[in-house]
Amino acid sequence: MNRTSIYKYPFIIFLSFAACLQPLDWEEAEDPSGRLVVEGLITSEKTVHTVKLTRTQAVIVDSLPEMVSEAQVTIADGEREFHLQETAPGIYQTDTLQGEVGKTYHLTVRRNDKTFEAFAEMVKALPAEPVEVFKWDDRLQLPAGVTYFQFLYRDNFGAPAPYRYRVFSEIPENVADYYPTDWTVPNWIKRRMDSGNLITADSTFYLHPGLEPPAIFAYGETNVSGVTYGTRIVELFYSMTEEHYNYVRAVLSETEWKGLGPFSYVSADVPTNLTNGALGFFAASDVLRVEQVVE
Amino acid sequence: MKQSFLALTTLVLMFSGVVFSVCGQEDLLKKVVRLEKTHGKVEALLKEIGQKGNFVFSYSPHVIQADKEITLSTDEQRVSAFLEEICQSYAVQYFQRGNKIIIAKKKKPINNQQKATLNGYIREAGSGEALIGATVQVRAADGPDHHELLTGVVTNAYGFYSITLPVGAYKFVFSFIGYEPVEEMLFLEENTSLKIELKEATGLLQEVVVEASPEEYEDENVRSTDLGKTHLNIQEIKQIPALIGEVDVVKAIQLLPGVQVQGEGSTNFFVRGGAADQNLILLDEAPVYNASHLMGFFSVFNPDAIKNMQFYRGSIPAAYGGRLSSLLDIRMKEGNLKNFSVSGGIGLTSSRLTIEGPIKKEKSSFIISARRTYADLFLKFSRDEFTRNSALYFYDLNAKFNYKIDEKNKIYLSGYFGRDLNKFKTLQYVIDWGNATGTMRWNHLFNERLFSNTTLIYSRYDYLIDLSNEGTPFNWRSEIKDHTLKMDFSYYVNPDNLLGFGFSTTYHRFRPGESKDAVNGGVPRSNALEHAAYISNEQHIGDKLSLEYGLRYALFQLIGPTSVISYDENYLPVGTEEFEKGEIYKTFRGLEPRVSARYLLSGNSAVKVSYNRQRQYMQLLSNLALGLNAFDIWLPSSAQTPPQTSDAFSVGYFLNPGKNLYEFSVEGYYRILKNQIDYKDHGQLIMNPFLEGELRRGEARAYGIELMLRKREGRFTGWLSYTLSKAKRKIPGINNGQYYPANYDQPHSFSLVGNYKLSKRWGVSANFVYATGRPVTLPVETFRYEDFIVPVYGNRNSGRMPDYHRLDLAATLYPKEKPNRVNHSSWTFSLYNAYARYNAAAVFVSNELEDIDLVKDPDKSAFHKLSIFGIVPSITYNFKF
Repeated sequence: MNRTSIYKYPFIIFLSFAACLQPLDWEEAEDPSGRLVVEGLITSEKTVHTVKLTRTQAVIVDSLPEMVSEAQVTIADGEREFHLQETAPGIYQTDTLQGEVGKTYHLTVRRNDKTFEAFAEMVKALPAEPVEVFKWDDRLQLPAGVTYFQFLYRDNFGAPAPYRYRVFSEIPENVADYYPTDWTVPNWIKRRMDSGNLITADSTFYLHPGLEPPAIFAYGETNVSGVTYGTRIVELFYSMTEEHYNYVRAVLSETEWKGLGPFSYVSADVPTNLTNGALGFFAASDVLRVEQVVE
Repeated sequence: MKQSFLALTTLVLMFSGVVFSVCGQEDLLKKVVRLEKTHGKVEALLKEIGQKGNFVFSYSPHVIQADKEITLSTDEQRVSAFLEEICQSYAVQYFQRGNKIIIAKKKKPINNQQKATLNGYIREAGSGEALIGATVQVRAADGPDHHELLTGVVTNAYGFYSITLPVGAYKFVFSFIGYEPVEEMLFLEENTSLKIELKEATGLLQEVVVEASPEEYEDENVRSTDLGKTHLNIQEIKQIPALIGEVDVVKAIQLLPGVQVQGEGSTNFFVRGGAADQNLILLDEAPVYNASHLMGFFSVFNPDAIKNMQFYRGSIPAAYGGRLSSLLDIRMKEGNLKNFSVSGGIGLTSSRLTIEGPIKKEKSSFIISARRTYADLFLKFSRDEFTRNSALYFYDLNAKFNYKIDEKNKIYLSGYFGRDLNKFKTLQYVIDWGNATGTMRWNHLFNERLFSNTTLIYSRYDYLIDLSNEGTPFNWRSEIKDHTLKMDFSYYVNPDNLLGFGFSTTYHRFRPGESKDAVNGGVPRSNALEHAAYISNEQHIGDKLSLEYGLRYALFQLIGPTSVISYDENYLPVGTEEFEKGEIYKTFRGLEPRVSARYLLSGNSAVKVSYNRQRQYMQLLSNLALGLNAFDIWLPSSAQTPPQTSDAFSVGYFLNPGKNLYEFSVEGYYRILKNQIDYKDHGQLIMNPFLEGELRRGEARAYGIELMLRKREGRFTGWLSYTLSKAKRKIPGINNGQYYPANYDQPHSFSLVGNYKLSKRWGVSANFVYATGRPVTLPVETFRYEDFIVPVYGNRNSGRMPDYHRLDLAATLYPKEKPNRVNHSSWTFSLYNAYARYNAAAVFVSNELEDIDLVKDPDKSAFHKLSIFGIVPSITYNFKF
């Protein structure tokens, strides 16, 4: 998630009228139960898919969670069963495969005579128009034939459907071909090209159909500017079932949107689609890829 | 011989003694007296006649003109002859009672009736303000039980009283806390109207107080049938140390037993295990839907405009309904009927100004009272641009006009308008909210026993949230509006029965939430009619038993035009039905019996029991961790959210030791509440058209014991209260369907409020409060998902915030006594949270917030306690002239 966070402003005002914030010892939070946590996603992209297994931690943490090894992890689609391999501690991956819209995927995790299961349906991603690209700052006194562009990240709220969303832009290696011969590559582009990483403005976040009041001050407007001709802007829309969206919304309510503004939600556990006391979520998403090249 | 003579003499003397003891109360009227002078004031002449005749006169200044100068025809004659001369121009009669001659008004008896009614109004002498709840005690005028209390009555909300007694002589004592009582000896032989004015006992404020006689103390808390009722006058409230020096009537309520507070600085309160929306708050009979300014730091009630408050946390009279847990009946002043006055105060955060006076003396008056904060003006001097461009203030205005048409008719017009504004220009973000109320009342006296009050009421509460920035624009408005007509009658049947009856009709208009932005949608509007009729009786049975019983019938109808969304068993919307304008699509109805009884154990102690059933046809949705909110949503009952009900049982023991100098009570209660609302996990209340799908309903239980010891007169006044209580809820879908503590469950709650008159010029006060920490749901562990550290919670409300305790101190400097002083000003110095206890307003887990610009280690989290107030000193200058 890479959005400007402006939630602090109301908090500053509140603190200016308030006394103080102090740490508090909370003894009940010192011993975690060590429950299994599952994070898994299968998509319609033809790629390796990953299921991560970890354990719960104490509330006050200063380390990564314990990874869970030596589990048997399978995903079945009603016709075939895929056995995931543990490629790193707690990381289980499929071979290259591609999920299909309309199928329901059944995750099974077995370890120490315990079995944890989840089901996830892959729903089709609704079509979407490319993000709008427009000229960047007419006040810049640029030579003739030289134009740069900008685009705004999509609003977090008001999407036609809930999505997990990723947007990135890629500078073309032959960017100079799009500009007059006397054009000099700007430093911000040169640095990327020299590093070999042409991907810029890479951000993943969620799009919500409604407006979430607690998140009013969580996000601001993010402007990606200095986009050149030839830049490829790629948007990936990951579809979500209602159950998956409710899970994500609950996670955000408990984390990113948990503030001191006027619209907090009362604390509660996030839901799960896993059985036998496991936490986390196993999801299936159809991926809609929307590309445009700035011309 | 000698012995016989001695015996005979003894017998004669004894016989003479017997004769004298039988006959001899000598006839004072026939006694001949000689005066030193024949010219002088009536009062002086009567005094001399009494001195010379070795008896006293008893008369009311209403029956003869005591300061009139007259000349008698002679200096020596019978007492009766002197009285004939003195009283010849007055329609009076005089008669002997023991060693007294009583001069009373002489009137023609009507129809040989055996009973007569005394009625009238009790007002404050200085301003003419009606005194609500003043006591009229009827005592024996003479006889073996001289001055025995026979019966009594209290004035109603307009200062009116009426009492019907057998024809005869009585001593009437008119009294009210903080005022000098007035005694009247009257021979009541026909219906009589008597207006009484009580003078404020200024000795309590400016002189060292001398203990007054027992009769001057109120024993209404023992004698009445009320349980859980507290009367607070504004003078008592003004002495309580206040946050930033801002006297607050609602904060005073929070110091009473059985009342819990949501959080630091909040005006929300919870009574005997009931939720915040279950308190009916009335300002001159108009409901106030949100009594908060500045997110709850202050209430909307300007103390300078308030005369009186009655707070019922049990035994709510049948005349009131629509809320389950309490009634806070606040009455505005009427305006000084005699003199113009200007009063007000200048404090650190706000100032207030009140102007009142007669429009026509003794007939019509007005009062206007305004208040505004001005701390936001100082924001403009901030170096921070964001702060400079922000605005945070409130203002309110109270106004009242009254006019006495004649002895039987009086009209009142009163209104309140208040607004809060929070504006952050840099963010293009505005929130504002406020109340407006208007009341028009007509008091009519049909006859000496039947009093009526007809009222038209308007009330509105609304708020707006507007964010106009291009990134996330939205606009949300919510409103509730009422129009009410009600009529209430009081029929003083006889000294043992006071009948009350009446009806009311309210048109409610609900706008739970509407947005200009199509993306956000809106919650469908709804309208409702709420009708009620009631009848009740206060009955005295013998000397020891009193009953108050009543029945209220309520009818609630939902009417179109509207769209009603229906939900399935999983709370998912399944369809919408449209209803036309005026079409009734849902009706709820029910009876609400109210019963209470009092049994006198002795002259100063009693046992009381009561049972109340209440129904509530609307609920407040307020889903915040903190009590700082104005974004409440009022929603009517519906098929999805049926009316809430409460059955409350209470029992109490009341004792007034020290000849009514102290009031002691211990009360226990048990309540069963049904259809209580809570929200599904992460329920979205604002900007959600499917709001009802977020609600879950279940039941609640609340029980507890309340102790209170109060001293209302003397150099030291105040009270001590302790409550031991439990409030829990059980709602399917929440906490696995198991009971969990309500958000306001605080098992132990203690308050000590004290005011002490150090001298004529200095008064000091203090209050100390302690309460068990509020329940809180905090995580017991966490897990990782993507980049998030997600909390895992234990049972709902299974944790407790740190216990809350706080000491407030205040000292008031009064002006020097000067004859004909015009300006009565005072200085109040207060210290809120005197030992700087950082009480927790909220407890939460978040990333490290010590440096809010950088989070160096994004994976580090910690528990934090947010405290709102440290030590808060303040100075307030109060003036009146």
